[in-house]
Amino acid sequence: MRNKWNEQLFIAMFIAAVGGVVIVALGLGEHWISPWNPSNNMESVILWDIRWPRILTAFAVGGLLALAGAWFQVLLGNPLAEPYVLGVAGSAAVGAVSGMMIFPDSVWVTSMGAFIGAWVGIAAVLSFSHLGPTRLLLAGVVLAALWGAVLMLLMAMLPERGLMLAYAWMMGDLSHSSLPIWLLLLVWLGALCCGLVLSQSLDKLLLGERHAEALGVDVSSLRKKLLLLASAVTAVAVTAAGTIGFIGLVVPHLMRLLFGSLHKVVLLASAFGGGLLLIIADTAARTVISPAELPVGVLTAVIGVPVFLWLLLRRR
Amino acid sequence: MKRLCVLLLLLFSAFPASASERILALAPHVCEMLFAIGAGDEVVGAVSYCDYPAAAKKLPRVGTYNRINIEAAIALRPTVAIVTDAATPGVKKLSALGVRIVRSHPEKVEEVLADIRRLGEITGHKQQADQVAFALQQRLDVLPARTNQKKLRVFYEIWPDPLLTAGKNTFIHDVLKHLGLVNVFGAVQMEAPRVNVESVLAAKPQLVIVPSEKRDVSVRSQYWKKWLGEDIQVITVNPDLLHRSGPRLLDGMEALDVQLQGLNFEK
Repeated sequence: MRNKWNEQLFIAMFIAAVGGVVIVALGLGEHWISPWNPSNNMESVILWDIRWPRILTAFAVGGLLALAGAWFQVLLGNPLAEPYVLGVAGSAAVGAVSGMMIFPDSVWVTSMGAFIGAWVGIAAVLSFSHLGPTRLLLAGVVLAALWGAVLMLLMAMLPERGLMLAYAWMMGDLSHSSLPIWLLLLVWLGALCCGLVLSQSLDKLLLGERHAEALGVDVSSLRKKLLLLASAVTAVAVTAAGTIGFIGLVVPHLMRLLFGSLHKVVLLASAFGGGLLLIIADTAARTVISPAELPVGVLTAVIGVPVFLWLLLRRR
Repeated sequence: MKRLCVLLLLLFSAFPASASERILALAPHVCEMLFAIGAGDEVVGAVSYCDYPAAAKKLPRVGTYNRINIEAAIALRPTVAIVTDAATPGVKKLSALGVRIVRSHPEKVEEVLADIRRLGEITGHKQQADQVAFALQQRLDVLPARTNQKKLRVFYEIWPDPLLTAGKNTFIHDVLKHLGLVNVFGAVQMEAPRVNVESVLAAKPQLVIVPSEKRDVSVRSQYWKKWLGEDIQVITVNPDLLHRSGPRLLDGMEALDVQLQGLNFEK
């Protein structure tokens, strides 16, 4: 009973934090606009057509990346795992850049390319899923290197101007997702629910495969489900915003340090915390050197690393 | 071995050099300048995008804007290489092999004219270069008098995605200034700052200039009308004329000026 109450408090706390950050992020920009009463038509356009979609995209993408990171860390039994570790980002980038080469002016083709590329990468990784975690990780890292090489080859052939688009895509951009925002939020919710359903099995998996099996978990089926789920979520995040590093690696660890390693809590906290961190990072990206803008990937690291290291030292 | 190479090169280059230079034009604007001042026959090699005048298209290519293929370059037995940036990979090696390196990277409109004169001196075509520069100077001098659209606020969209514009101390900024236009991001201390729609909205431009090879702005025009309102004027320019700091710059500036005359701002 007490546990139940705690959980609700926990969710309420996160919703309150997200709400607060969203309001501040909405107001901040070229100049401060009060979210309650924009003074003219242009200000309300800036608030609701420019800042609001961007904030929602950041929240969903950040949450998805953090969830995927948490899953990959259990799945591979490796704290260094993150959503892009098995080469999904690399294959998505290959797809996106191929799209840019064929139709340089279409955002849609780029996104489609990224999505197809991500799934090609996932299919390649899945064919190694029967191997143990170490070998799967090894296969993924080698595949990632291959995608990296193909990407370099494509970029060497891109004309000068295409390169700018490719670089910008690879550094992440939340300003114009070609996926509808309601879909992103729906995927976020779906992923979180799937995660919560699986969370008890994940806790058991954390004890080691043999223990998990002894406790009645079908490990090989769980691993397959998890791999598919984590990869699919990564594919959606990459399609929406390009590759944004760091969130997937650091947020799950951050949440473990703050709230313990019970998966129900870690996944819930990651889904909100990842979104929160990405909103903060993206708001900084568009305001720090305003009117110019920084790539959001830079800010996720600049904000995330010190917080993470500080917690690491404090909790030793 | 290296010394022997250098010696051989020096020998090779020493004999025909008395007649004329053998020039590598390692940037599109350099190529155009050399042909304009009558040094086209002495250009033996070029890089990608050196596509004007037509004769330049037939030149052997020795690299791209950011990398020089040393073997291909040396095989042409050059005596002078004109580059935009001495730090480009390959330039140092060329210099070590005895090729004279000349830098030309105009960052202001006036520097284009100065560089035309300078290249004239270097290549022995001083007279024609002076004539070309003088004619351009005259065309440049009459521009502000003709421009009546004073102090129009302009957003110059270098690239739509990511949205890039021209900052302070850039060539494009200087070109706009010469036409009596105000670059809305002219205070940003970056060469090509990445901006977002919100900052463009806040900068309140009256005119958007979209450089486009195909001269088609229908898509961008729709895009900016959606954000900046139906009143916003969107025009296009030929980037080969306006971004290339060569002798055709004034063609580009005059074409832009003609378009500015045709605009009407009812307010």
